[in-house]
Amino acid sequence: MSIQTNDSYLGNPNVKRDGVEHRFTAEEFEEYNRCMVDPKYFARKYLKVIHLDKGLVDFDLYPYQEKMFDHFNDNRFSIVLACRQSGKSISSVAYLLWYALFKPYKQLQSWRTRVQQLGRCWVGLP
Amino acid sequence: MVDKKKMMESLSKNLPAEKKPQQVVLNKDIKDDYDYSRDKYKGILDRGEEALDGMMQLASESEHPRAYEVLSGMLKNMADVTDKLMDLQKKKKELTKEEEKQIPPGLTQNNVFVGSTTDLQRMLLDNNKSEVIDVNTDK
Repeated sequence: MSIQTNDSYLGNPNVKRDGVEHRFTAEEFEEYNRCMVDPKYFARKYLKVIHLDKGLVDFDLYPYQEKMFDHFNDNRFSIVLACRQSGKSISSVAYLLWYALFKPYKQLQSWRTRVQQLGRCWVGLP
Repeated sequence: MVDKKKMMESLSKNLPAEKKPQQVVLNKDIKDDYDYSRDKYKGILDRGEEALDGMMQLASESEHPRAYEVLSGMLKNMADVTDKLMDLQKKKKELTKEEEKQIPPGLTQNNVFVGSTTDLQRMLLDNNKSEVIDVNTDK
């Protein structure tokens, strides 16, 4: 969805300003609803992550990452036991981004590096 | 860390921010009329040129003032037709503009919801909340 300059946030055409009116078609409506309900679908379809060899790639979740998402959704607290470099941070960042976008009146707290990662993912959203 | 410029380049490749300009298709009648009148004007000019040569020859041979008068009138007519041929382009442009106005850019006809994303989100949340569950109290 491209945005006109006066409707964009801080001149970034990829980010929409608050309160901008949009005419949602049936497809867009369905898509938004689906993303709102399913964080896994949202992450798979819209999030991009930086791969060390390939650069910017789609965020294709591993089964254990899906499991993490489900656990985050169903429980108030989650403890994850996982090896290093397994993508747990980026998964939690993706979930937090989904949470920030689709859950109103919520405050998120995270470490600075995670917030930076989150910002990078957010900028890449269509 | 991947530098910002590289990342933004990849993003702009994947997520084009610019919309392709909408191609305006001219009404078939307008196009047909335009083509027809253009052909006619060109035909008149071609035929007029032949007639002009003949008239010039006649005028120079006869050296009659009336012949020169007719020749000058013909020259004027030819110049007018050339002008009209150019005007045709102008008129076509005006018609194209009108067609463009009729189709505003980016307007979607089948809107399901009009409002900000916040409004949409609020509506969807309300919809999900307002699911009524009937409880059977007979048991």
